[in-house]
Amino acid sequence: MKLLKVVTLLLLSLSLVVGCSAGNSGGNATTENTSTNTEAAPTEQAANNEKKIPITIAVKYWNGAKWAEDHPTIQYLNKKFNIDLKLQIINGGEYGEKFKVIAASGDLPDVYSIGGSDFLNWQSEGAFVDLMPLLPNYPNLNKAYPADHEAVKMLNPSDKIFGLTNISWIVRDTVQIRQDWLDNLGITLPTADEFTIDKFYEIAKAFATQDPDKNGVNGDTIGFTGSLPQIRNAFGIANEWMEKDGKLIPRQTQVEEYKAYLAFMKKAYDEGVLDRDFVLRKGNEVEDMMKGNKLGVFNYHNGYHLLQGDIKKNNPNLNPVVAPMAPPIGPKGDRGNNAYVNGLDKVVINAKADADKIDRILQIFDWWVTDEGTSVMKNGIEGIHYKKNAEGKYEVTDKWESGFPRFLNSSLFTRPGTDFIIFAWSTEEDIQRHNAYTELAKQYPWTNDAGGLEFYSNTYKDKWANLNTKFEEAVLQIIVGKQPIEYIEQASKDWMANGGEQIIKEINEAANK
Amino acid sequence: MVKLMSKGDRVFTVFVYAFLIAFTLLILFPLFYVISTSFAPERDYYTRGFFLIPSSWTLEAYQYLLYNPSFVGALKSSVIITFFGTIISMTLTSMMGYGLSERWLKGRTAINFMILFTMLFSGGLIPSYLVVSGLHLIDTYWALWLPGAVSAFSVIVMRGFFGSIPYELKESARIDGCGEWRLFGTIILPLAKPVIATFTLFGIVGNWNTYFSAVIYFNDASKWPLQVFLRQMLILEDEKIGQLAEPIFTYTPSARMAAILITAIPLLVIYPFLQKYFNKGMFIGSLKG
Amino acid sequence: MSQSAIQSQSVGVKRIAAANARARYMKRAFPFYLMIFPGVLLFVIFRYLPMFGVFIAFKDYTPFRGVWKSEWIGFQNFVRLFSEQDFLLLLKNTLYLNLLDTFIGFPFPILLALLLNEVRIKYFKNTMQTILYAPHFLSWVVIVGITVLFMRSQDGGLNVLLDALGYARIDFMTNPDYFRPLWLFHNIWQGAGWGAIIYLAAIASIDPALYEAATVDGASRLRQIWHITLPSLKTIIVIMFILRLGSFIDVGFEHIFLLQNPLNLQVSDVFETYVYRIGLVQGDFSYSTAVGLFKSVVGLVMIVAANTIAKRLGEEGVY
Repeated sequence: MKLLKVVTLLLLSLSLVVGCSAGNSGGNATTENTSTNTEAAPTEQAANNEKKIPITIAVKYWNGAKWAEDHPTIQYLNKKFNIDLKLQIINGGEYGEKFKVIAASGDLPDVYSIGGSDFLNWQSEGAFVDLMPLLPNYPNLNKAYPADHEAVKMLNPSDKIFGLTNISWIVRDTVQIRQDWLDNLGITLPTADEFTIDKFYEIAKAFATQDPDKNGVNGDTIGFTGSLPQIRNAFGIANEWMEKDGKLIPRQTQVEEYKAYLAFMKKAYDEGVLDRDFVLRKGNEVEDMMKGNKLGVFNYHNGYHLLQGDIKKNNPNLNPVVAPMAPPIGPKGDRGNNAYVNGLDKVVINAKADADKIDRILQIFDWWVTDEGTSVMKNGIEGIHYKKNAEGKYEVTDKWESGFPRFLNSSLFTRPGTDFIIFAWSTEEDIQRHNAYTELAKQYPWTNDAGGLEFYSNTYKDKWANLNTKFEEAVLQIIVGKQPIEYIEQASKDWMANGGEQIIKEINEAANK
Repeated sequence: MVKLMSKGDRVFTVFVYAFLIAFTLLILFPLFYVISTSFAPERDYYTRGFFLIPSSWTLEAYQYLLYNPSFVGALKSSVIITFFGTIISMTLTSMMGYGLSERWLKGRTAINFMILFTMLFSGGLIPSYLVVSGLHLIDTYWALWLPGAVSAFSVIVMRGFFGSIPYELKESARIDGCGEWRLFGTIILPLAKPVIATFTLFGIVGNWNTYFSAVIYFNDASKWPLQVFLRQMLILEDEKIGQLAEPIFTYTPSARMAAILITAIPLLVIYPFLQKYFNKGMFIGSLKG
Repeated sequence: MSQSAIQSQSVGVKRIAAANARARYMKRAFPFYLMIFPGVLLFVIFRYLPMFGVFIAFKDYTPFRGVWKSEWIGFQNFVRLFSEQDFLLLLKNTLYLNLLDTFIGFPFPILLALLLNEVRIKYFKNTMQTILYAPHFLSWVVIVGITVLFMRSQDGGLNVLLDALGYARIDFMTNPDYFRPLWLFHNIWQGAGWGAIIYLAAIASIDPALYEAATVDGASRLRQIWHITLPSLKTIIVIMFILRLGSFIDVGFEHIFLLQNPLNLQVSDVFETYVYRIGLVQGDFSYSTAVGLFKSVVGLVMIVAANTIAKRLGEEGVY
């Protein structure tokens, strides 16, 4: 037994060493290197790229073909920049956990994506290269990421830029209606001005109670289901936070607005216009309902033409037409689609990288944001993933699907804009459709006026998730009739009393900083 | 069963069969849906809700999977993990379980408690990773085989089984001059076939279902086993799309169900082979006499 | 003088005897220690070495500083857990579910094994066993998915049937009253066939001569189960039960999480789902480690208590 004790103790003390050195290598090396980083190598000199530099990049992987080590795009990059590129592919669902263990063991890759509170916390540990003094040396990057852009400044201290970010959709989703269903019921598609919340209700009710899919059965289609934030917005309820009289307030305090909204929803539930199972439906189930020709009004993105194809595939005798709409107008004239907060996710360079490596990495990104670079990262390599056909038009080859050349462009970094879904072989019609959609969607942004500030509030971090769950519970109980509408007053009071008040205070403090 | 059963036994037998048949049907019903969907065209899933007979039969989903290179690679990895993982784990666990079943052994209680303790307390993900990476096991199969080789549960239960082997049996072998290792290999293990079969099954199933540790310990994505592949198909999170709305790969519902079945089939096939051992029983009685 | 000489002599004899005994013991015990050693080594390396990670619960952990250099915050995380607004609710829900599972779910595989053992038609028995074992390989995503398909209000098969028969539709998935039975049913559905395996193996180890003797004495099948099978299963049942108590404050995360929705939250919210919810916002390793440590301590108390009782009753127990 004594022997056992000794061995255990020995091994335990060994573990101390292992633990310490692992923790250390992260911290110390970092501070040393940041100081050297500030003297950046000039671009001209670096353009020679004499030395071959190994670079590791971590990427989230969801699905699609996995890149092999000798993927044509990797070979292309290796040759072009004289690097030895290694991808560390991390399964999307475990990205957060895996990253925490890699960080603890001090083996972080040279380039990786990180967002939100981790990005904020790791800054103070000196984890990232500050790009502020470096960007001017890379003209394309400098143009794509101006230092005064809201998304670039997001979560960064005022004098530093710790990462590149995705600047993309401001509003991606809007209300869309099955126009062929309307035609079947003899209802004309309302114009943007005619599309009030009452008109919305009228259409949804017709969908729910009549036979828009012409299958001979009334009422087997659904009016509308959950996840339609535009209704809430029509009643003037904030997209989390809104500015009112110079102060930021959260939606949980908008009791009067909520009462009007809840009265609307409760009526819809009682009359069978709102899906009876709306509480249960998750995102993909709602999409299943659209594809299965069961749902006619929904919140969807610019891929609606593909949705039309899916509906058609499941119901070959139909000619489905999906029409993107402006969001409905509420009783007080409010209308809006939820807007994204851009800049919360960053692509960072590990501060352990030396000046040469940083330069090489930035060269790649500088090239990536150009038309030439984006084309390689998105369409793939001409002659391998796509080619010109006899008519002089581009078309994909059989390597497009199995090679998945857009993997890095979709999963790691994209240049600003929404043209990442426009490919060399996209038709003029497709491009126009895409542009028209983008215009329509961004016309009605419903913004979160405190976007990004929540990461500065400790009470928010500790309490928000639970407080919000309680509040949503109350909202749903009211809609399904388990509680009277007045119950929302109590829910709002509880929200305030159990930490909400403190959150409001801290968010407003962060805003005034 | 030559003798006529008494009335009570007959009632009892009817009850046994009725209960088991009812329970089996209850299990078959949803299983049938999974099987049907895997053979049905995509359309059925979207338009028909719950169904038991496909509107038409197709093997598309299975062809799709078997021609998918990631699937075949994952299958290979799963076989390696399971085969060696089970052998290592069974060897070490049965030795440990048997050793600890000797009640007179000093320090036994302390070791037993030490084992039990690990069932309740664990250091968590990060320190475990640090140990595995400190031993340079990252990206090797040993990272899965070794940490999972002995588990508190199997050692404790196996110890219980070995402990129930009659003492006289072992003593008589020892008096005949049989060494402990030979006794273990030639007498105890064959006697313990039901237990060995049971825990081999547990080992195979456990290794086959390895998922999280593979994702954490393998940076090399080509080593990911089948379960990782399966989960990528089953868990459809909105996060996948994120802000990008582009035509992402989506697996058809039929392919998802087919993947569930294909991953489960080896385990269902292996079952009857092991089953015969734990149904037959061991004949301690006949040996004793 | 002489007295002390005799004394020292006798001490010497005793020492020699003790040394001989020890040598004999070591000779006898050595092979067994050798068998145990590799396992112990693995336990030490892969379970005990990482144990220093529990310190995370007492620290404000950040990956960059590692476990040791992170700031020491003492019991702050535990204070936070116990003063959580919903602590008692979480505890109540967890205990309720575990009570159901321990007293209804736990005996079920035993029952199944006993009944399967009574089946004399070999092929029937084997086929049935394979079918009963199959659900173990369906993940909760699939099981819950099928349940929802079958039980949801609008177009779920069961509700369509109820409607056709003229009954009112039932909100199985959102009515809190149905959550616990549904959860328990799922557990039994998925796990009973799998859980029965270990008892079948134990039944297989029973001496057939015992049954033969009982049959000659004219004992009914039910009496044979009661007087032969169950007593022989006692050891393994006690072990399994004690181990089950060790996880008395754990419930599987994925299953509950998938069955959970805001309308059944008052009965379905447990520590696992709660930690997940707050973890999404803050990714706080320290707090979730503290919650895990709390659960471990409760499990330890349960096991030690159960084991002590088992030993008093003459059972071997788990340590």
